[in-house]
Amino acid sequence: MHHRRTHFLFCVAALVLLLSATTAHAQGTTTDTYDYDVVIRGGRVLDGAGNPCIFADVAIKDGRFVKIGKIAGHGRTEIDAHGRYVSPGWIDMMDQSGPPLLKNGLAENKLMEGVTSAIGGEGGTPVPAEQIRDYWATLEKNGISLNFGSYFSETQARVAVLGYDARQPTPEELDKMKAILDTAMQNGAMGMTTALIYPPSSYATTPELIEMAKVVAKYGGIYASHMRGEGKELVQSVDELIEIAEKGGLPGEVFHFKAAYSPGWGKLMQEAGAHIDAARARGVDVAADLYVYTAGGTGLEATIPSWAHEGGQEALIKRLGDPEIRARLKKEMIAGSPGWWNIIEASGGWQNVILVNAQNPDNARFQGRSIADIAKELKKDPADVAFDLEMQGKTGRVLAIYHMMSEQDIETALKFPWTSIGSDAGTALTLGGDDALGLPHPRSYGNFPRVIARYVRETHTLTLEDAIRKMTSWPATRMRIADRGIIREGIWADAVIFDYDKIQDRSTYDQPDVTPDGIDFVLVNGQIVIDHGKHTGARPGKILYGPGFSR
Amino acid sequence: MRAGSCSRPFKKRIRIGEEAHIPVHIYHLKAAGQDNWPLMSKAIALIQSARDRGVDVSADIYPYIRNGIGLGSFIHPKQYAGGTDAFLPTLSDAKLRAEMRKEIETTSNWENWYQHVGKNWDNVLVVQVPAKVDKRFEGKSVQEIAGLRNADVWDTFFYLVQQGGVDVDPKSMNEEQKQQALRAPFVSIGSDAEPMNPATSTYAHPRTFGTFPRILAKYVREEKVISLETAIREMTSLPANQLKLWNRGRVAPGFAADIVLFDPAKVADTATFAKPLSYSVGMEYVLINGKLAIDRGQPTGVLAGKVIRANR
Repeated sequence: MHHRRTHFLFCVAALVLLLSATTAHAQGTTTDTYDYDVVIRGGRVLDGAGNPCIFADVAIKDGRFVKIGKIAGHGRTEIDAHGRYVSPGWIDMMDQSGPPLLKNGLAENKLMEGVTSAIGGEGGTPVPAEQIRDYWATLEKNGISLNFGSYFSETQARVAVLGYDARQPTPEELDKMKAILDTAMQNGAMGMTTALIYPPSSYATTPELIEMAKVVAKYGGIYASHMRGEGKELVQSVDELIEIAEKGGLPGEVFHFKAAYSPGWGKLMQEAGAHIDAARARGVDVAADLYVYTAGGTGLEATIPSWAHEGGQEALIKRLGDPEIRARLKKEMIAGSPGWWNIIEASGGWQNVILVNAQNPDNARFQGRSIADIAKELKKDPADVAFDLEMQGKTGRVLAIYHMMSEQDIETALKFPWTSIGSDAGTALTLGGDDALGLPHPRSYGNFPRVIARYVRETHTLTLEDAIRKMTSWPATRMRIADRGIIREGIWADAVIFDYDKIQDRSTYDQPDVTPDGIDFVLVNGQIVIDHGKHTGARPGKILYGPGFSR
Repeated sequence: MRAGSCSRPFKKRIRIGEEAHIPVHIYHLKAAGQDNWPLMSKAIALIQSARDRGVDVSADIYPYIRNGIGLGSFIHPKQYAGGTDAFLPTLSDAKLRAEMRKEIETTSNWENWYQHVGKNWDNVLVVQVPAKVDKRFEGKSVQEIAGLRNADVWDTFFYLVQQGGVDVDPKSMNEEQKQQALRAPFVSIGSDAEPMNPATSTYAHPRTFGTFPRILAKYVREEKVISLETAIREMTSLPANQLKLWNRGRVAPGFAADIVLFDPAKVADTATFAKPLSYSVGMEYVLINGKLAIDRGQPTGVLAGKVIRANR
């Protein structure tokens, strides 16, 4: 009996050996026998919902997460994630890639900082409402490395009907604007944006925006805004956004939430946050995103009162040539001007306004210096320097960086549970080049790793799981993207694999176009786009269609 | 857990997970006993440091500072070595009572519940007595019962133990440790209770009826220990993620439709230690796998639950 049993066991053992040999052989020679496309092994898996990590393998097939846990099978590609975190791909809630993605679908600066989905469109789509489907088709045909969706701008509809006029639309004109927005929503826009410090967007009144927002609400879209003022009038601006969301019947998103006014640091942000909390408590779906730098960046023309922009850029340049108009503008730059947000005051003066792109080789030597500093050298009034630089810009929009926020307020904003992360930066046309706006700001390469490196690891402002939530499931939930932003079986396999101890933004104001460290792998729709820190050239990105889209 | 060495069993469990390469989950994380209350923060730090070095450790709690236990557990377990039936009759002996009292009052190398409640019989609430015992004792502390019987409190204690089947809810924990646990990101909620129908039951720990609404009422709405979204996370996506239930714990297309519709201003537990057989309020609708199990606050009788099988 005893003998027979041993013999039987021996047979089983031999069979097992034979089977395993066969399996190993099959895997070595044909690709069909792989169980999965990719298996990420041994990582600390952060699900993105705000939960602490679990320790698991993650298997991917046909673009989606298919199994999470102990994975016995093998992947065509195996990624060793021991000692690293595996996160859902990061979602850029305020992206500026609309136009440049057509030229550079690889979006290296985005992918290398872990961004797998981007929501563009502060200024709208780069094409009119009726051409949005063609725009999507072109992006798909060219191929894009990340997933991309876009808002349509209220201003696009306004300009199409009213041009650059600083007036309210008639009821008939408003109907035309609504029809344009309706078309944009049906063609897949995520919702409607405004950028209310910039003419002609700034000409839109609150009632006009509420009426327009109702069109977006009909489709379940969202209203997002660069608000009318982000300095001392921050709270009133937030109230306007809440009113539009509440009366328009749709979610409202504050773009790049900030308190850009040094006397209000430590107070305005808290107060604005309390207004959003109160709105949320009574059922208005309002939230905000932010980039994590104390300097903003935009056109130098933002320093010039709004009325001077009426009629567009040419009209502005013409006005700036008139000494009388210059004199009036200078007075208003100190005293204020209706409908204009005083970004010079917000920055605390011309010494904190840094010219970063003069768009003219003759003025390139001034780049990286403050307007006050340039004025000193030229022995001119700083306002005149700004006017001259604006007039002399040849190759595009003259750009400046404005140092106007405080670290304390960034930390306050990050701690609000409803804030997400957006870079306000676009795709760079080349790896190591400025973002396509031509605005060299470190946020173009470093915004997302900086959230972890600085605000989790160094200042302990956020826990890692909460920081990841703000970059994944929360923005996905906000944008009603149900099948991304979380690691669950059946969800699109967008993932970032990073080393917590090594992750580090390296871009600075002096050297803004430097890629970060510590991000080893980035996957988009199951394909590896960043492999050991290098872009593979893969373009697996998909269009993120808005809620009004149907094929 | 052993008195005074609450971290030792933790270390042991963490070691099991570490060496076997498996996730470890700690049931009803608590620091029972007044002397041990400060150990909760140490236990949480211990779990966190294990997690940091790569051991998948998590825990759950119930939101009550009293546990539930038989009064007989207040006597050293070695006394039961010959079986409960043989032991209880010997409790009439005055000399044995005196010896055991001394053991309870002076030794701590065992799970000594008397010391856990701060050597105070007022902290030991009798919640259920067998039929042969005066029903008025239910809902009273051992100290109060001694008053009713006009007897010495230790004699009352031994008398009650001798009757068998006397259940008590000792006040063994403190609020601070509940707050610490709720704030730990890896702590989920578990009731430690069985299904129960109040119509056919006589007593239960109130956690049987109130655990989950109590989190929302007491620790979110009233005391603001954690935010509503954190509380919901600890009751939904966190346990789903830990248990690898990928299709539950989240409101999203494609997921199993297990949903609770509640009024955040009204949701509350009503079960108390004195009156535990009482349903919670404010849960207006409960859906299980897409079917209404509670409809406008009333059970529908629909049996839509599924067996959850581990498939990996």
